[in-house]
Amino acid sequence: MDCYIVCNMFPPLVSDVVRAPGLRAQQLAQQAELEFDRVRYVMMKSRYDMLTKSHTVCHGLRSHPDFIVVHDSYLHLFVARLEPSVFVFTQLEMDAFFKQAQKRHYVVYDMLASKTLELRCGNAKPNQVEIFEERQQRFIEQADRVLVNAEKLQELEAEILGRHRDEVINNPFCPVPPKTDGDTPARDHILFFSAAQPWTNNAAFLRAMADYLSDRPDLPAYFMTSLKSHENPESISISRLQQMPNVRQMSALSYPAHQVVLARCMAAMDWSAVNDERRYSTSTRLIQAVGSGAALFGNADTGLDNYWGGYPGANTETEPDTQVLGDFIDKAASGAYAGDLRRAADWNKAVLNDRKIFGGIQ
Amino acid sequence: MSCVIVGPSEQAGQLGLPDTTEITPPEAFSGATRYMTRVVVIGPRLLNDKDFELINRVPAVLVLTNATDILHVEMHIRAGRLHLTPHDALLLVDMSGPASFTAPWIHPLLLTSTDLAGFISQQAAQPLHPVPAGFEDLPKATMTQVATQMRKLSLVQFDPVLGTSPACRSLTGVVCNMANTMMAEVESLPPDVICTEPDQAEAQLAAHPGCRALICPVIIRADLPVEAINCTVTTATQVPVNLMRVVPGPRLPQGRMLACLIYEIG
Repeated sequence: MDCYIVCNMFPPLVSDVVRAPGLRAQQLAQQAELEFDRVRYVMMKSRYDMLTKSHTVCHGLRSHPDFIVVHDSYLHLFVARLEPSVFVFTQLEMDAFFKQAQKRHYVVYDMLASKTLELRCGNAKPNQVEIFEERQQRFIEQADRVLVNAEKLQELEAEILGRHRDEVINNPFCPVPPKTDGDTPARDHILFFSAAQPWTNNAAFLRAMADYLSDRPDLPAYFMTSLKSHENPESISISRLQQMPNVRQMSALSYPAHQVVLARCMAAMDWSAVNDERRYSTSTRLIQAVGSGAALFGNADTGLDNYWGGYPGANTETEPDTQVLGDFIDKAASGAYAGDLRRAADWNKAVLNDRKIFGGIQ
Repeated sequence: MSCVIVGPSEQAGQLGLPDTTEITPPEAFSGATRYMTRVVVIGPRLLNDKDFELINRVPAVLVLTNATDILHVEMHIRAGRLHLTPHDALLLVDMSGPASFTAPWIHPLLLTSTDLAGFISQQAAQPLHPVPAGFEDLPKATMTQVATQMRKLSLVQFDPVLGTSPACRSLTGVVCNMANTMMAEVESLPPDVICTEPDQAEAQLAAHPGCRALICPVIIRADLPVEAINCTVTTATQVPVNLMRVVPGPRLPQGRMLACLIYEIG
């Protein structure tokens, strides 16, 4: 039996611009390879065009025989001509594809995040929220198997999951670890982030980081942020941090470069005020960092609470101060989290080799 | 041939430059800049946005005296007001470290203080750093025009890691926005983009197989058209290579033209 992972973002197999859905697709493909004869990624042409319509000269894409682009007009033929296979959908945007596939194939719906919650936090129009609520309900009702990203997401969507709730399989987000060759660099840097979403606020964290790093010129730190406008509450701290001799600011890196930077870091830090969305969300930045072996500093009371059999680092619900940050960094530098990180690595490995995700599909 | 020196006299004295204590009346200074063929700026943080229009026209040495200077130069580069070419150089004085971590982009254009006297007494404009063969006689204005065109482009969707061949190292500021670019060599990162002469493309791609884009600064001539250069590059690798854009510069004497060829690999 073949398995097709339906992508709405490019997986690392073909692109250097990798976001959470692309990493999730790679994870699902790795898990599916344990069960199926052949696993391929498939993307609709309209989606491909949208992603490559950016104003950049190069798209960082490469061809691969396991990455298929299907023209929307021929979707019905593509689906009809295949032997019964498994189609995995991770995004509600793939509604048309879902409708075609579920007619004669086994369909898996993988809920990576609550789309409707994100839309509400992003002040989307009510009718847009309604559209996705309806789709979510239909995907859950009609899918042969439903996967969720975290137990907290399962709690949040308990009502929608309804009678399927007991059949839902928890499949935590776990990127495939990068292949390492050559010497392992010393982990003597830290990496920290500003807010990524409009509804997250890292101002208090960045203020504390600026205070802390101004007293630690010996500690090299990568700071991943775009430059923000004056009105943004984070901008003052970003300006302060940008002027420090031990801080390297960057906006975003390609996937291979990001992996190299992570391999140099003893710790990755990202804290934002907990709101409705944070409480149930997981963090791709931090999950990737753990996968590469860096200790974490983040929020308590988020979707990551049930990950790794315990947080490999420190987390807090209250605004961090320099004392809290200093204690964490000192412990990370001394290797105090090594045991937690080993446990997290084993936990990740178990997730990637979990055969119940796609087991039993005939 | 006149060299204008801008900056405080104490620091000029430390660098062995003529005394700048005498304050030139603004109208006389303005007149002097009309005949200026090169400029030394001590403390570029003191310059305003308009000054960079002048600096982009003539070879310049920017003397960076503290971290604020670096931040200001970075800000002007980021905003597209300042283009640094092989005719320009950066000189660090009174600074504790080489700023290789926070500002690795300064490295391709660093100058030692002993070279400053040579720059001031230069009789003809010539690059201060190694350049590819055939680029020696290109004036700064030509390179700046190409840099302006290149800056209008967005090469990739992220901050690229740029690798260069040794001869193209000093062209970093011409082919990309240095303030948003990671320097592969200085920062020990795998390059996403490589800037190289076409005949070095094969060696560079073999050394960096993960690279996804190639920038080839070339001088197109009647006996070396784009098609011939394209053949050299496309045969340099086993994977598909697509010429995405040709960024033309101004026409040069003898039917030549400076251009940047941008390829996507894979």
